Amino acid sequence: MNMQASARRIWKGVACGLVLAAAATAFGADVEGVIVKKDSGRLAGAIRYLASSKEYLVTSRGARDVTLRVPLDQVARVEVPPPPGLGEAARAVRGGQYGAAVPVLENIMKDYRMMQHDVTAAGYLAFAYMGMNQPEKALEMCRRVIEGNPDAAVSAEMAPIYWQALLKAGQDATLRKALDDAAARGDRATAARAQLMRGDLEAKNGRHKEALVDGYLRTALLFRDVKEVQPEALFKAAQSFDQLEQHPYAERMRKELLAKYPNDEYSRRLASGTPGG
Amino acid sequence: MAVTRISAWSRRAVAGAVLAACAFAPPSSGKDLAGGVDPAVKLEIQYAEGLQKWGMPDYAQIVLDRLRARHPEAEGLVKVIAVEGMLQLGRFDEVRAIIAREPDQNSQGAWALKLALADGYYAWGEYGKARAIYDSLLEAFPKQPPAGLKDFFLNSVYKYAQMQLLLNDRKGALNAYKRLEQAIPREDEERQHIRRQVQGETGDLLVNMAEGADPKDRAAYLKQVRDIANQLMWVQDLWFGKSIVMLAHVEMIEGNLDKAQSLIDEFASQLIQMDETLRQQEAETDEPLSKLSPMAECRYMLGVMMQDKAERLMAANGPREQIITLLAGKLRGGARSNGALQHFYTVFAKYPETSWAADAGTRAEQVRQALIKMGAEIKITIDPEQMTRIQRMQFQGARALFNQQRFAEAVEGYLKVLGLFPEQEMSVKVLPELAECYIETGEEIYAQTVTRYLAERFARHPALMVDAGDGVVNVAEAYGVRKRPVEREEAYDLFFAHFKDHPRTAGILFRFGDKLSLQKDYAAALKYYAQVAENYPDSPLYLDALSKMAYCQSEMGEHMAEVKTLDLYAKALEKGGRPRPEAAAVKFRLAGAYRKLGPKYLPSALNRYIELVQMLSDPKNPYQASAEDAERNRTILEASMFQKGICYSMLDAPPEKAPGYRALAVRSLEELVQASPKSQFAPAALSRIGTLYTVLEKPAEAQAAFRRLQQDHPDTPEARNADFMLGTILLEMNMRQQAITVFKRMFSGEGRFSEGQILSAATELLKAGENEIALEGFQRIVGSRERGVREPALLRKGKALVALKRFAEGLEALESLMSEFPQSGFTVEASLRISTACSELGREESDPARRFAVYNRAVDAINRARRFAKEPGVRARLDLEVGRLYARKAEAERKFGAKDKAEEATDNAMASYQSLMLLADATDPEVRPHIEDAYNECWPLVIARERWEDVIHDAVSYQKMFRGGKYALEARKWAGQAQRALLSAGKKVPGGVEGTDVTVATDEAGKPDEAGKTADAGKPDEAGKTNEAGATNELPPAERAAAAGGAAPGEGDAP
Repeated sequence: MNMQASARRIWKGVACGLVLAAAATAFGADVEGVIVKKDSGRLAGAIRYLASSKEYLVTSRGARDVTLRVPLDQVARVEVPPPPGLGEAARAVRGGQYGAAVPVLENIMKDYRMMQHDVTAAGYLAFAYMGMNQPEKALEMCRRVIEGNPDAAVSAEMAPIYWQALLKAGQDATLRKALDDAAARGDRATAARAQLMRGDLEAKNGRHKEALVDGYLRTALLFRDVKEVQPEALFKAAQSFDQLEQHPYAERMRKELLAKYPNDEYSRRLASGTPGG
Repeated sequence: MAVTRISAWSRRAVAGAVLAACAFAPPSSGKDLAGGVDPAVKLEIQYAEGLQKWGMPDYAQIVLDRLRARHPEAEGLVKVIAVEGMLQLGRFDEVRAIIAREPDQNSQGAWALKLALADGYYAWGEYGKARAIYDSLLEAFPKQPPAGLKDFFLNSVYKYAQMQLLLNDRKGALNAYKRLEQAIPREDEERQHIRRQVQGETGDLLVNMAEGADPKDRAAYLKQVRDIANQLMWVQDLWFGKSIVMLAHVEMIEGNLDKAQSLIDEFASQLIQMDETLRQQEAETDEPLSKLSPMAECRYMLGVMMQDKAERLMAANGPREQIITLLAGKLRGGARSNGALQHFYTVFAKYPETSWAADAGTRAEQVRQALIKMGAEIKITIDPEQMTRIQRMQFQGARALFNQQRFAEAVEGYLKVLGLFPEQEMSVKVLPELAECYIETGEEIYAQTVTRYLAERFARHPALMVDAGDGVVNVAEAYGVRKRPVEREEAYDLFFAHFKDHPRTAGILFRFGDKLSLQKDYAAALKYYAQVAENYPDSPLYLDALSKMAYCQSEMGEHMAEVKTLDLYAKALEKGGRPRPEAAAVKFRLAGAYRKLGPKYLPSALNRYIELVQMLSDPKNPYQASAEDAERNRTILEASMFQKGICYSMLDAPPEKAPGYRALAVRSLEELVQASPKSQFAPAALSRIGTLYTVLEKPAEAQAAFRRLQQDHPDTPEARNADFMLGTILLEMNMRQQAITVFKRMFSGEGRFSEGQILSAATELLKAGENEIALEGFQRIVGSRERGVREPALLRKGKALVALKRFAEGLEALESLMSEFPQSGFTVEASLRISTACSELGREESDPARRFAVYNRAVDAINRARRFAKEPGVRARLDLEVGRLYARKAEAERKFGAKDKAEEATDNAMASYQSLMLLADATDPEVRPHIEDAYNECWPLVIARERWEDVIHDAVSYQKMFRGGKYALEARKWAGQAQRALLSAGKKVPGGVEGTDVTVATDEAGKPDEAGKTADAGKPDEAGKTNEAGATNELPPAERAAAAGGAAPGEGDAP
């Protein structure tokens, strides 16, 4: 998966409502905005989130400043304008300029805690950290996003980064669960990719039958509509069949790869005899 | 070729051209090409068929008899229905006999029966025979059928044509169509509309055949199409429109796209008008008339032409706008004109019954992908009802192939349509069929792939979960029907793992438990019942599951668990406030379970019996809803009173309270005898009263009790065997010395007891483990002249001696039995004891020759028994014993330093075990436990030989054969050891073993992740328990009792 391409779409996947899980104790800054309550009431003013008591302070400026406390469980969403610098930081991440973007995004996360844009910033930070080869930090950011929106774990935008972060951090058991989850309930493209990655994990451990049944063969046979992954699935399925000494099946995979995707990189590898995976 | 423009055409002609024949519909429901059945008759026939389907053939017969009486002309149809019913049951011979009895084999009636037979052959997959009958119809009437048969002939041959199309025999279908046309000459004005339909369908078929044909055949087909079109276009009806489209199609196939386009353009408005009329009539009549519209083919052709042009432009790097216009239409004023994409989708969505729909779907997808590559965003809306209809039609072809058992072709069909509809309602319905196709073609890995996909992908889908679960069960049963129990079980395991919320899960789990329970595999049955109890507390099966769990636990001797389960069961019955009739029975079982736990829990048992007596003493108690409940509770009350007395009588701590308990026992038992003198428990109660008075040193009262026993219940064992009962009761009361005195008196020969009585008494003592006392009894009677006494006495004497470790004497007794009674029914039992005795003697025999001789005696005994034993279970038990014998011999040889002999004996032991493991039938419930024991006893031997691959192979085999078996832990342990040994030696480690703590390739597994658990099974987690690969979490008894929650059973329960 191309990280820049994913980063371009990240905001769609992660910015989907209020983050309701509290995870840090740092105070946010005062930010002008509106709290929309579950009873449809609206409170405008300078907003700050208190993690320790799980409530928002809203100070409305007028003849007299009035500060109200709103518990988290009464809040439907928080509407604040996008923080300055977020757009630029996002562009920087998309352009691969992580060093410039990271400090800005980290500040936004701190200042806009529990105010919508922290999650957006977390998403971009995940990409940036992966780009900077800091998988643990990327993982932390992914978790922030997923806490606010569990479906992000199986979304086309977030899932691949999340998996890569887990893989690089050596968290195989959690990775396996995440892949199983995506295979079960992600959209078909994400499910197909999860299956391939699952196949890679199984094949790495010498479990070629499992790599086929729950990975490569499943993708090649039953996800033909996800064309972009077919060459890889067919190529790797052939390899696993060879490992199991089921050569007629391996041949079937290779024939299909060469016939349907003659110009693909995997076909070229096959033709040149280069091992892949 | 010039075509005259026709400005108007007849709606009546369209209506008259409404003809559809369902390929294999019964006479009542099918549409006929010609003629037709009287509607009243048709209704009655539908009624009779419906009754047959419901399994009410007698009622169906009444309807048919009535029909015959009112409509004698329907006799033929009635016969056909009867015959169809027989064919469903495969009774072909009978049907042939009925046909043979028809006086005129060329009458309509006879032919109707013959064709019903043909349809039966078709349904059963015997296509050759089906064809032969239809061909014989064609041969019987080579030119024109007689007038009276004409309609029948036309309908039948039309049906034959459809059948051949379904079988993909297009040439056969063409031939049938031609015969139809032949049968309707031009002079037959009444049937010209039929002739025109036949010609229209023939033309369609020829166009289809031409598309895939080689040039020579193609030319011939296209010529025929032109001829047909020329004939059709002289009448202003629906088929006129068809002829235009046919001609345009011919031009397209020949590469004359412009000519094709101009033909369509010229007649477009008329074609559109025809289409609209057909749609209107379809909406009014509910008949699928749109499939007759020429518009489907027309739009398909337009789509193909546009796609073709676009592809040529793309290949030549032509203008992008032009390509997009061809593929997706031109944007004008916010709306798009029709491009290839729209044409194809229209055919696909609006004409799904036509033969163009499938290809239109495929081409639509090709065009869509091409547009996406060019950066377009495509939005297509098809309403759900339409979509369902499309899917059903698309899948129909593949399903027809599946039903015809053409599995390899069905696979291709399914995959093609699944590519279009991967995750719809129909997809989930056909995935199990796809899996079954792969099972049939032997492509096991593909079958597993599809099944696992079905489970994983759809188990959490709210709308499709139920169908998906049903599908996985269907796959499991497909394996079951093919006698593949291992794969069947794997599929069910998949179902249970993924479909916990499926409506069938609880029921299937329960059924599995029942099946294993019947096979006496209680440990495995328990696991299934436990799942029902744990996960489905609201299921109607919940209480039954608890009951059966308790039963399994009782059979397995796990009485503590049984108590917990019954306690839970009793509490569940109390919920809801209203007393339940089962409550008394459950409490009684609970009390019995406490008793089985031993003396420490006697107070708990006693308390339950006391509660039961209180619950049920009032005849109007609320625990009965019927007379049966009342009767059952009465029995429970009596039993409880009896058991209450027993429990009191057995309490002996503290010693100073014992007399008081015995007095209470007497009182309880006397209350029983008073309240229910005829109770089944009265004799035993009186016997016990007498014993208790004896112990309490009240001889007069004791005698009174025994007298009453003999007077009121003279024919009972208690009355007849008073001394024996006395002795037995004393044993139960732990008054062993007193019991021995009574039995010695019995066995001393004071004359009152027959040899049979002594044999029974000694046998009961042997069962109770009182080997010394029992031996005295057997010694007394072993000299009997009666075979019925001597034979069992010898066996049991031998058993008692072996149990007392007097092996030489025991061996002597048992060998006497074998030599004196060579055909004895006790041969197997005796030989097993001989084997044990010899093993023990051999263990202590230092002289090699004598040691050799003593083991040979055992081997001889086992061989003798093997010749004798017929039942597979017994033979398996003996084979296991052979293995054990050799294993013990090996130990003895090792003890005395005979290394070579020890190795030889070990080899023999392994061979015996492995022959059982490999060759015995694991599906036989009597054999299965011995195979399982063989695995367990063989592993240490193989480990000792360091045959690591064999250990792993056996572990994999065990895990497959005995999923969740009692040696699962051992399997993992030994396999883990073998894997580690291979790894240390740098060798390749075979996979396939579940749950060992060794991964085949080293990686970073083992590091804790954020959940605090290790990545691999086998290591402890933070609760101190081992996880799935490790040992079960056994607490020491005190903690276990505390962990059970609620009152610890027995502890603190005072009488």
